[in-house]
Amino acid sequence: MKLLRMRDLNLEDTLALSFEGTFDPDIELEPALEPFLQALEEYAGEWMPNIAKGKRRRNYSRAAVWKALEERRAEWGSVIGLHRPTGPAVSLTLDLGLIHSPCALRVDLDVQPLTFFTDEERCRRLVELVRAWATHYPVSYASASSEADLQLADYPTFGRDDETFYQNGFDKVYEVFWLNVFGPEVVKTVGRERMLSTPAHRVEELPNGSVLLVTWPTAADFTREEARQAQARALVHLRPELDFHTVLRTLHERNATLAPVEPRFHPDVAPLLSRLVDTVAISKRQRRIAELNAYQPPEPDEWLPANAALPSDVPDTQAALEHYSLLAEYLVALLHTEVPSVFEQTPESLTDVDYQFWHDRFPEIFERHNVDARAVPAVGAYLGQVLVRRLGGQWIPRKKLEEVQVRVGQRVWLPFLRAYKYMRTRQSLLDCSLSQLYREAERHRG
Amino acid sequence: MSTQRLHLPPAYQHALDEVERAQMRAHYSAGNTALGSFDQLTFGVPLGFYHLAAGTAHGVQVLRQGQYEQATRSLAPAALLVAVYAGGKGARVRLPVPELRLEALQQMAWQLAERLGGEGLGAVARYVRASRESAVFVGAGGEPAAVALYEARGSVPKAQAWLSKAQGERTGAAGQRTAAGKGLGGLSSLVDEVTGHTREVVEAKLRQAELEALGPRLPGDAALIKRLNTTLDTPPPGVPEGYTLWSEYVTYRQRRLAELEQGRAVEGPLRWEAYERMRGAFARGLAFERVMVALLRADAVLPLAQRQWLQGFSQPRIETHVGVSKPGVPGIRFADVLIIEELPPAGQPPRVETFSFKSRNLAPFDGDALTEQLKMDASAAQDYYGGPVDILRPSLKRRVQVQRVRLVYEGGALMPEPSRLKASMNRVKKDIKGVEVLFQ
Repeated sequence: MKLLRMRDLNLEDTLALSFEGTFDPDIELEPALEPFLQALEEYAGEWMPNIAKGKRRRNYSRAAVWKALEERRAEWGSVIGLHRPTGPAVSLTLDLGLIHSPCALRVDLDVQPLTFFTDEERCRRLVELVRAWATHYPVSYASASSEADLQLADYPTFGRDDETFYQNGFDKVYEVFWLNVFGPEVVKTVGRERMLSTPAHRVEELPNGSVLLVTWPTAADFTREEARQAQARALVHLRPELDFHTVLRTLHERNATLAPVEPRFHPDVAPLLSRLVDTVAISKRQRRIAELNAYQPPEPDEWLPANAALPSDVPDTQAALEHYSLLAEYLVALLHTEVPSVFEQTPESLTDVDYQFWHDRFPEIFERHNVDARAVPAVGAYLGQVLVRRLGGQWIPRKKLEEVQVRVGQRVWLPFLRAYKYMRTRQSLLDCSLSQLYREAERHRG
Repeated sequence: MSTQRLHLPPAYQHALDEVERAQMRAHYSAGNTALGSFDQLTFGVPLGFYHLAAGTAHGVQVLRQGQYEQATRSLAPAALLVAVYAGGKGARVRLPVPELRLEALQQMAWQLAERLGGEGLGAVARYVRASRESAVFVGAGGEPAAVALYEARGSVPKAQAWLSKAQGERTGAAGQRTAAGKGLGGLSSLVDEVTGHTREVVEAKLRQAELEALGPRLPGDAALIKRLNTTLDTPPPGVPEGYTLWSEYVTYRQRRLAELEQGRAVEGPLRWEAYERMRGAFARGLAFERVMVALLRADAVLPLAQRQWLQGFSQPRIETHVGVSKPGVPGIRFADVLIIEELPPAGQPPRVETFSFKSRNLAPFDGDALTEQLKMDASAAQDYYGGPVDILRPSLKRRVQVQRVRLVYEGGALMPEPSRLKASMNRVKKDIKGVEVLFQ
């Protein structure tokens, strides 16, 4: 069963919780983690993880968690995953730093979809969970929010360069998200009184001096006007140097960035472009769709009318065809691990090939002479084979590869020429995609 | 052949059986017999072995006389393999193999064994059997190449870089091939100027023989492919552990076999060598490394204030694939890049930093696997290239304190973009001191 992977976070917004706590190194690990699991079991409810993963996966149980921690035990500590494959999908990473004093307990929790937290009671229980954790494990900083909103706030660097972030971490209030726990050090920078008087849905002082702050009853509708206003009010209260209207305008801008855009891609390359959308972070998804809606690849011009075809100039046609077949096989060898469909030689395989080369930034990563000498012939031959197999095309061999043609209906196509133009840059993979040439050839099959 | 077989280890016996069976297949053309038997006889030993094979003609005769037991003891495992290979192949391909010296072979094995130990020798044998490039490399470079390959843990590019560097430093300009001049197994043992077998001629002949013997494809014969597949099921002896390319190749072969059986394909699959060559040209990690080294070199020539990577140096010297060892830690590692200060302040040791490059597709990872991977990589980088290390390259040889270890991942689409990735990196930095994790 598939677990929630990093790339799945691009597809739909997620509730992302991040928690940095500590515990006493003098307590044995199992009793030290008991309250953590206790709270999880009590409050997670419908999203309770059912898999504990160390080196192996097991059904969730305390024993399975201990086993996983043991399997992943290293010099520095142990990292395990608690997962729930679907409905909602959950990934909880428990990252224990055991060389520190006090020991570090870090949690990264993703629950997808975010809309699961439209329900107020679910949100309340999540807050209770964080409250219970923060009570047992003194917190320096914790937050929970829409993953997209976190990204747009430039969490966790908040505009600082990496070096500064590594040095200072969460040393003061940079942002306010749906749920926040500020550790005693951060509370000090604002002033306890001031922090406790923040206008918010819930503000609560915890036993160890940290403060829990929830801006709004539900996490999922964070773009709603009232929720944004509450978020802005809380932030300017904690950071009086900020102007409410400026902060609110920034939040509105984030909303605009996240507003859904209907995909209307060029039909010949729509399957390819849809896949490009899935590679960008969730916060950039809608903008990417808008960009690709506007993108119109140029019409393929690697063809001649059939009556202008160059006649074959090779002495041995059979040998030439075998050679093209061999070249095409090199593409299979090159890509089959990433793109198993490449064996099939279908139009869908072409789209998969387009995507993979684009994903790998292939023309830019590898040495030009290798790309031109090895990849271009393989791609051209493969494209030609697909035209032959799927559109009833016929090879017209030539001594020079770039003159080799495949006749489909009233046109002859020059697959190696296309491959050459295709393999120039990452952009040219889209501008001269194999997918598009295939569709064009299909239309002119006659 | 049959009496000899009894003296061979069981795996070899099996291979010879296969060869003989293949030879009996009526519709086999002579050329195809050579093709078909190749994989079996050599367990995928690459044809670069001609270089070595040529050096063992005499050894082969000894072996032919049935002295396998003795030969097994006195020859290295690699040499035995070569011998068997040459014994099986020499006659068929009719490559003119001059009479060569068994003692030279023994000498190389002995030298290697003394230098690397029995285990090391075994490792070299495995690497050599695992890839054609390795075989060519050792075949042409002789003992020094074998040592470099061992030290590079089977990575030919690293071994090459190391070797050519070491030789350049030692002799001025000589390339690795000069090493072939001494000892055995080298191409030079085939070279005989008097008979007109100049190096060029020999090389050309070898290349031709290789081409003829080794079509890039296996025949499109499902039954044959299936039979060959039985040996692919278990990795050939010699494929290094975790050699993913091999398991990918096996998948590929099985896939093609299925299609042949179902009549959906007529052409046979690529041979391992052709497959490996194609993939080798597009090895992602090497490409990223090249890009990063170029970036660092460009950074080094900028004024100090404008540098992004090398601010800690006034005159950085950038060296790649530098062999290092750690006091108290067995084994040799190769730092992707080692930077050393050329103008250290008087009386102070030069500043040293190392870089390790990773080209991993982390997007398909789940959360805990990602965190775990970052930590494992960082920890390995620190263990291998951080703190006090001995630089082994002759021109730089000394013990140094590495001040900074940077682990650079290839970014872009390989890198997922959850908001907290940087927070994870920060934790890695806290848990594994002295290593910085970056994305490029």
